[in-house]
Amino acid sequence: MQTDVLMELKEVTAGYPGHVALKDISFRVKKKEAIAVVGPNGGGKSTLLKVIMGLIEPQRGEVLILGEKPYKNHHLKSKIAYLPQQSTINPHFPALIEDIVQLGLFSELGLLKRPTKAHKERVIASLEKVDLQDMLGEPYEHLSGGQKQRVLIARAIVSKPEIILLDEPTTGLDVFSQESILKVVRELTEEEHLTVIAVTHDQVFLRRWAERVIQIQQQLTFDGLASKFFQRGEE
Amino acid sequence: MLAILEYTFLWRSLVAALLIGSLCSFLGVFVVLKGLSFAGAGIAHGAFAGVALAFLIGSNPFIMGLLFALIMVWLVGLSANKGNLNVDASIGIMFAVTMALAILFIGLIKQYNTELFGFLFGNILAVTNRDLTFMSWVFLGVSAVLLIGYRAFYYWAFDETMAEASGVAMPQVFFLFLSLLALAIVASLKVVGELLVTAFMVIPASTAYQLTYSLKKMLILSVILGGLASVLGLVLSFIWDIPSGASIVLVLGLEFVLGTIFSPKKRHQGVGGSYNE
Repeated sequence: MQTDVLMELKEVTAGYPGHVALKDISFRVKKKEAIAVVGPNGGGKSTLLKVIMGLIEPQRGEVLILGEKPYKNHHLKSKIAYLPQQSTINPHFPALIEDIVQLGLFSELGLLKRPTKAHKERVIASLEKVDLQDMLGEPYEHLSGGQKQRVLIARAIVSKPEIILLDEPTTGLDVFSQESILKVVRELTEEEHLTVIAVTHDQVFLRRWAERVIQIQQQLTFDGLASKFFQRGEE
Repeated sequence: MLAILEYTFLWRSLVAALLIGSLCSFLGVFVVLKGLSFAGAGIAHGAFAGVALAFLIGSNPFIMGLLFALIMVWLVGLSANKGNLNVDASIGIMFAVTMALAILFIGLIKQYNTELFGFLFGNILAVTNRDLTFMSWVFLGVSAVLLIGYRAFYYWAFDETMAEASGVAMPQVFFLFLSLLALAIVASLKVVGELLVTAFMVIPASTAYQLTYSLKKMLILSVILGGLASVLGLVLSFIWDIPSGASIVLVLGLEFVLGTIFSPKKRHQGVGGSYNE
């Protein structure tokens, strides 16, 4: 494998008992890439994220991240961060912002290890990156939708991952919040040099952020530069 | 009122109420946040069917109740985990089937059994030293697991997929929680009864939810409110000679009303279920 290849899917078929969601998917991801995953609902995008996170074992084929298989691989948990769709999270969950960001350290702290001063500094540094450092002790419930999403991004980056998986990061947000998320995600790729893979239906986000587009409808129907993807759509 | 302290059986009842009230209120925080309120009622029905069978065949009601409750939660968990049915529907089915079994077993006993109906409506004044020992072990065991696994339960309550992606063992945490719930409910049957045990799982946590923005504080408040209502309800039942289970639940209800009135929060929607702003 080439050294700049971070992740590789080789003819991956995956799904659930009696249902194949992904079929013969193959692609490689290099470090620092900004990839949008598009496709119709039910086309296998969420299954793809779960396969990459190691939550589902491929029925056929192989996934390699940093040369290792992610399925039930605890070592890779801190290398891959995941941001779910906001609609799955209780917006009134009783927690302080610092507590939520600290959840991202679970793969390091486990059940019983107490967070050290260095861990607490990392929590603050992560909040600085999403411009919410002044809201450390605020209740999560008090934040706007966009701020909540930025807190979840801070939670994702606190474990110092190499890959961040975003599931519809701008869905359900107002225009100003979408803009703030776009800025944060751009900084993750351009300044933090992280590899970001985002499942999205948001055309504005797609056009302004993605360098590469992967289109999935059970099978891989497009994989290439974002500019070519849009050209193809305009033809 | 001090007469209550002169009777050994009342001391036992007070300790039992405090143990069960605190324990169920602790678990109740996660029940409320995960929208599992119906699970409490369903598991209690399952446990009661086991208790009824125990009386029919002359077995230990706690062991049989626990066996039934555990089988039920594991079937519910398996069904939800396989994605065949959601938790709510699975519990709904179990709820009806186990209640039918309970009625069947009661019918087969063919005579009125006061002790059995004590499990249905609660009979805290009949708590024996043996019951209290069982409740104490359940309290210690379940509390220890909850405290040790606190971080995993917290993450699970916040978002299951995110928790699993970070290394929280799923669905093990879910199964463990359901098993702890079953254990606590079986231990609670004699205190408030099968019909009212859900109140312990839902009301103190919902009251605490009105009063704080922090999960840690919500847990502490819920335990205090649950424990306080148990003791106060029992004392009032003694003074006014009213059923203890009902008295405890009515105090819980009063706490909730007061908590809602004095809540610092102005909320647009409740907890549980899915969240689309």
